[in-house]
Amino acid sequence: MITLHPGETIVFETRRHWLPIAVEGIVLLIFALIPLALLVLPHVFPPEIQAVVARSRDLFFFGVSAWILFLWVVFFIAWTNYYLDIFIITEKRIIDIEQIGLFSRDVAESRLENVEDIRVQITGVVPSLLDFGNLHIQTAGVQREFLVSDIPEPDRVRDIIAKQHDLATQNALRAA
Amino acid sequence: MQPLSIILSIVFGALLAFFATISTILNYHWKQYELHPGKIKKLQRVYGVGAGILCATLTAFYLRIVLP
Repeated sequence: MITLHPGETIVFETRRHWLPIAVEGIVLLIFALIPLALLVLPHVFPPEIQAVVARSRDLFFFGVSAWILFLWVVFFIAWTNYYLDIFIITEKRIIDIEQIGLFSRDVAESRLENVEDIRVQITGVVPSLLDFGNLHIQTAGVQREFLVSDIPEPDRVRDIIAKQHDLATQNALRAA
Repeated sequence: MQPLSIILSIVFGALLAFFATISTILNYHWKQYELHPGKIKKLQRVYGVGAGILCATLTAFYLRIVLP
């Protein structure tokens, strides 16, 4: 869980674009439908497989249920990795949380005053059409570069960071 | 007990144990790391309903095979 400093509020938060998780979901759905195709389109499969399915229908449905349950869990693991991957901009910091796996999590943060360069990278036809891409943020901190992958509207995010950076710098100068 | 029933019971038990473990881990993540805790409840409901239906189906077919 992210703990905000006293008086700090979240200005902007974003997750990865929906396309990669949608593709993953569609692939899993196709895998889930393969055994059901045995029932709907039996003639597509070899006669031996058809005979086995016809002989032990309960066993077949047991296997199908187990298979779909397994895919259901796999989808939610993927979804959790997607959902907990989040990029946050507050009035004082940028926070990049990367959920790599169920037991692997990387949280990096930098003060906005330390932001030096921001680079937007959109590569490919689909990312250009759907407006998502990578954001490289160069900072003066220990973590030299933040790479935020596949975020929607990266140009807008860059503008928000630039604006917040200016405000944070002005506030720091005023306080000094 | 038939050999098929024994194998099936082991598979069934292993599946449920695996499923319960993963569900516990997923729930822990959702509660621990969710930025807006209220939102995750809807997701938990979807996951729970889907998993419940699939577990019930799995159990039903397991019992149909194992029970005489």
